[in-house]
Amino acid sequence: MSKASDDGKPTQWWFVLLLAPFVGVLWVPFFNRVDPQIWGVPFFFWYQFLWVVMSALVTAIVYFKATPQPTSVRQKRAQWPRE
Amino acid sequence: MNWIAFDVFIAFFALVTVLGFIAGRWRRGDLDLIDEWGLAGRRLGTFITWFLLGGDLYTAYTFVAVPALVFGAGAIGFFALPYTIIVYPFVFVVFPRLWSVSAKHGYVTASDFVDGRFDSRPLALAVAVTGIFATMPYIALQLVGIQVVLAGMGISGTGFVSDLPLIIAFVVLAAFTYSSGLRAPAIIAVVKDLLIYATVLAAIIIIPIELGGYGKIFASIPADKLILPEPPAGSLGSYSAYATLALGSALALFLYPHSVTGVLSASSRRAIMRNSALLPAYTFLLGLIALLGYMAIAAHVADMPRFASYFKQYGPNFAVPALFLATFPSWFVGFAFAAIAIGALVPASIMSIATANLYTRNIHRTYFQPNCTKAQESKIAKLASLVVKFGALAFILFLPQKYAIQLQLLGGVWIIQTLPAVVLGLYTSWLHRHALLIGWAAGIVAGTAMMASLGFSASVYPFHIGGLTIPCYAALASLVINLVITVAFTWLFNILRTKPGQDATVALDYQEAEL
Repeated sequence: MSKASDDGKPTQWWFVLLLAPFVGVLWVPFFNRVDPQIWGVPFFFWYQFLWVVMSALVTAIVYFKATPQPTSVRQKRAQWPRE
Repeated sequence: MNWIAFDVFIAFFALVTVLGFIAGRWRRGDLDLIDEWGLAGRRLGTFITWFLLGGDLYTAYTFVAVPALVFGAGAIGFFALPYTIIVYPFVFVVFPRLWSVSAKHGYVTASDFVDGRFDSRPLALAVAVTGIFATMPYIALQLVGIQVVLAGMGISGTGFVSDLPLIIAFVVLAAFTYSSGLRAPAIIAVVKDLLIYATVLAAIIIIPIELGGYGKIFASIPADKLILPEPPAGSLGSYSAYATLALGSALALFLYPHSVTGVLSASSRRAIMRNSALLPAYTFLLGLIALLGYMAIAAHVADMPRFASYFKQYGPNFAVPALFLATFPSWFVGFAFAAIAIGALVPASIMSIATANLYTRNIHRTYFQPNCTKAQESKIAKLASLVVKFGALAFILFLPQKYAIQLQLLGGVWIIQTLPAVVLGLYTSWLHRHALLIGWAAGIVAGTAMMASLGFSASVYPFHIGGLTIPCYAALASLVINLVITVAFTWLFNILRTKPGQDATVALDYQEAEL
């Protein structure tokens, strides 16, 4: 499944970004601490909330960068063979 | 009896009842076709899919049980957050493939797909039966969510009269699900979300104000509950428990029939991809709901005499209702409780439809009535969803609640055993169909044995490897066993040149067809 963007550069490397949330929230010893706190909220909590947002952003980035986006009708027709 | 709360509650309940019945007219289709009744005609666009999946995955039980776990056991209950963080990149990559191949071939269930890909009736049956058994206790637990909020309004105790509201709620649910199919929970999910987001937003602003700020809330949590306890020497302790609970739950979540139903009812694979980036909004909400468990500790609701009998009957599940009763005015309590109860109806409806789809397509049609018409299929599915729902109701009314909880824990261990066939099957047909069945069986046996040794009341099994103790979520551990056995037997069958099945799909089926 080799996806090339319109100028031929391979785009599947973007998918590696999707590993970031896994590393971020599964490496538990890293974030199992109380300090530094934000507004009285321990690190353990605000760090994981932050990853909710970052993981959604990462997914959105990969969606726009690495999956073919609908373009003009003529480009659409040119990309896929008719059945 | 809290009449103000109850009146507000009833008003919202009546609203969703009406919506449930007229939902059948939304993007109208022939509800005598199982695709229309059971998958809303595969026509749910990005935003409605967001509401549907949101209501599907973030259930009333989730909203009650996650803070209950935090309230009772502390930070370990927060594993729901990493769990629902990592699930979405996984879904983003894998599930558009399931959507595409299912749209192409008319698959309605994961078992349909497995049958097409691996040409194995026993394997497809295994997937179907696993799905049915894993989902049924989950439906029963949604009723627990309704029970605790009814109790919070003063309707509790034992006996038929106090069970009556629950029964009425369920009859209503059964009726609109029968009549409108998947469109009903899809539309009601919109209302449920408005209520839940409003409730949680109010709670995270108002309750800390009443309690003196977030700093004070966290400061009043005992140290052993605030963050995870450090693992003792020679053990990975709570660290591996937390991580494996998160990873195992994430891998299992979308294998559940109701998740598959949510995915397959989308109008395009892009809707699934977009939702992978949008659904994390619910995860954020879930994190806030988990914090309600801490707020309940800080508010000392367990010490309040008026809640004593409720905590006795419902345990830590009463933490959130108690918190709301102690801090909100009555009318808002009714609003919040309606949110939770409606949040139970949506997944209960979808789960019963998903289970019915499985029974109809992969048991009834395969083994009892192979030549049934589309209309008959739809009829069977509607009846099956009724049976499933009333079975769940009977379970909750007549058996101790802990059985439903134990079965649901076990269900998580079971459903993950379908991962090799369903998820790996979306990428390759290399795994031999007989090996998959053997691996599935091995995983089920191993996982169930692990849970049995834990008395079915916990799901983290301590492994002892070379002097190191590694507590591991039983679902994840048994999945590893399953995979190893599946691969080993595939090699064996290939050496023996045992015939593989006929793959009904081709590589292109899994990819984007036309933009």
